[in-house]
Amino acid sequence: MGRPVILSDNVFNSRIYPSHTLAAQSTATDKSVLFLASGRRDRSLTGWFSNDLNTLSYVTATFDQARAFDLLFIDRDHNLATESLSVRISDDGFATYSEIGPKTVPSAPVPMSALYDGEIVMTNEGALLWWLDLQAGWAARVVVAAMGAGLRPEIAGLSLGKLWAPEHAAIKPDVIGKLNLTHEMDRSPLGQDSAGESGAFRSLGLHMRMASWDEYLTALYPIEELYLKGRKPTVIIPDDEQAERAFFAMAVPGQQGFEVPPNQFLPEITLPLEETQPELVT
Amino acid sequence: MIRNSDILLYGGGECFQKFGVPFMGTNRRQRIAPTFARSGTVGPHASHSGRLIGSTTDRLRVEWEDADADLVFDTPGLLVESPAFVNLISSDDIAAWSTSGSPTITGSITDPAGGTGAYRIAGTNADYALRAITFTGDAIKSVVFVIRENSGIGAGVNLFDSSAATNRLSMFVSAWTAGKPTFTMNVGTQLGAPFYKGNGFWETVFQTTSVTAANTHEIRLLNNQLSSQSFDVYRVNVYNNTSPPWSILSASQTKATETLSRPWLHKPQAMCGHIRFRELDAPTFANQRVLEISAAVEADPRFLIYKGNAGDGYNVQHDTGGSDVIASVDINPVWGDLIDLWWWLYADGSVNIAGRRQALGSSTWSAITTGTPSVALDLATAWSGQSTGAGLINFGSVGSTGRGSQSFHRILVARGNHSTDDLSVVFA
Repeated sequence: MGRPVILSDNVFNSRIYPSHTLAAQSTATDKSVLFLASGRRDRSLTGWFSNDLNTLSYVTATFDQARAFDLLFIDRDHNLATESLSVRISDDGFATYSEIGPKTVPSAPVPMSALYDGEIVMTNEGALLWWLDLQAGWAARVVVAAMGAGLRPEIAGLSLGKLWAPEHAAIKPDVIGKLNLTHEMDRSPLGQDSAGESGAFRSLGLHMRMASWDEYLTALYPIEELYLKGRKPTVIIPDDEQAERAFFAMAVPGQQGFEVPPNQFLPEITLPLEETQPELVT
Repeated sequence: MIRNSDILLYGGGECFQKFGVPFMGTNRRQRIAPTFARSGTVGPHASHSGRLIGSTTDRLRVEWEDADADLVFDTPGLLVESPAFVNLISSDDIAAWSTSGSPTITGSITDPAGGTGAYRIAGTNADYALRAITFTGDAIKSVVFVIRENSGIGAGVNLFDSSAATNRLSMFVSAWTAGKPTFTMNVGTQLGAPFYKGNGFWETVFQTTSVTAANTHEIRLLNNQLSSQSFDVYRVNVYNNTSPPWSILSASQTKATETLSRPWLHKPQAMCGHIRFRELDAPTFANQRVLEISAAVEADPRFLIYKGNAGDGYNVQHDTGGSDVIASVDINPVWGDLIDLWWWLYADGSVNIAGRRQALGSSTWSAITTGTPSVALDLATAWSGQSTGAGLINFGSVGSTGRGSQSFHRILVARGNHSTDDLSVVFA
């Protein structure tokens, strides 16, 4: 089993980075690059659409200082399957830039997709993950090549940031398959059940022990500051060797955080994860 | 072991790997951006993909190096360069150079910057492109040669002193190994090994023998030794300095002062540090800063690490204004070396330093050399500017007078006095 990977950072999130400047090549009416980090997962409600058909389109975040990032997430409900995607980094307003890709977006999930292969991974619910290796600069641009006559990119949500992964795999029990099942239920006086609308979302506690106190310091910002205290929309990849099983989560209320248990010497955490707006199974 | 609470500062290129920013922060409030300033134009720097990219005013450059010669740019550094470098010739218009013989010069060749600014030069023995050059000051000068293999060997550069009818630099490619050039030196010195610059291009740095500035010189970009061959050239830069900048400047670019600092509000106390950087300045230049805790240039009380006046080592200095103590380590750095320095300020105010070096293109460190501890000196109650909240820790150049050129890979300052081993494993 691989290690968990957590992406709570997002240079496109103006709540995390209010000094970042967000822009787009063009934007359709009632859409905005600002909406990409809203955590709502439906492009009828949110997101960014280019305003131009069959044109190279992009969204840009210009940072407040040199920053590094290594993972791109594009939420489900996009229309980018089989399209060409690249990420550019620039220090001079894209007069010159470094480019990762372009790569073709897959059209379907592939079982056992290893995140660190560097290929674009489609998750089981259709979101995209692309490990970019570490990049650093003053601005990042996510670019979609011209998609063909009558087409334009339509993206519900996007995160680009610095992932965090523990040095060691998560501690057993292996809880990555745990679901919380819910049903609307009626029961007759004679004991006959009648199930109404049902739902299932992942609900688990990821138990991790830090390999060192140095590692604990690296976890404070992405875990404590952004995921727990900030309650930022976060991508959870429970196993980096099965990245297609990634899901989207937000922190839930309750007492939580790092602690050093009795007779232990390093911080541990049972990170409560509850899937947000899972795809409905019909 | 160094406790978390004893880490006073962690930064450098490797900090991007751990924290995503140049200096450590564990929450948003602590994510104070470093202060970086640079006016004017600047040379391009290597991105992680290897492509050379530009940078605008006041933007700290993250220079990615292929530190282990595997053609992957995987080692980031914070590039802070001195303003002192003067590029004497334009090498981005080679088609406009004069020629001798009949070399074929073809433009619009793909370059390491993602453009087509390189040239292909083909010819036979004694065909060459040339350009007159005027130096200021009789001294050793430096030449940067960025080339890519095309066909055959023999690509080279001569710096010809027409007045004395002799070469001050003469070298040529005598072999290509998987695209990496090996040079045969006739006159002058090669500094370190060729290092990869992306898209098949390799940069190599040379020093001339001492030139006489009053004489007439020309740089000759030539096909040497062979009857027929060709090669691609991105830059042939000649600097009026004994060593070049790390940036590959084009004709229109000069170097402006670059300053990098962070607030420093920790009081004088027993502390130590580990700093890893690529040495990028003239080896003999005196007073070259690496690190300085001071609100302004030479404002006391201060603490600094700098290259020793003899240029063969590094000094650590604790200066209270009325008195100072210094310790030195002699590791004979040369341009392009990767340098490790460990330093200590003890509770009695004495200082010491240890260091080692790794030549450009090598993966072997020298043995660690440790200096002799200085005598004691009472610690001041506060560093310069600290009590008013204006204290700074500066890296490389400090203002316009203190100069230094480095690419900082790792910067660590810890409370207390710890061993080199303990300092080296933090965040390793």
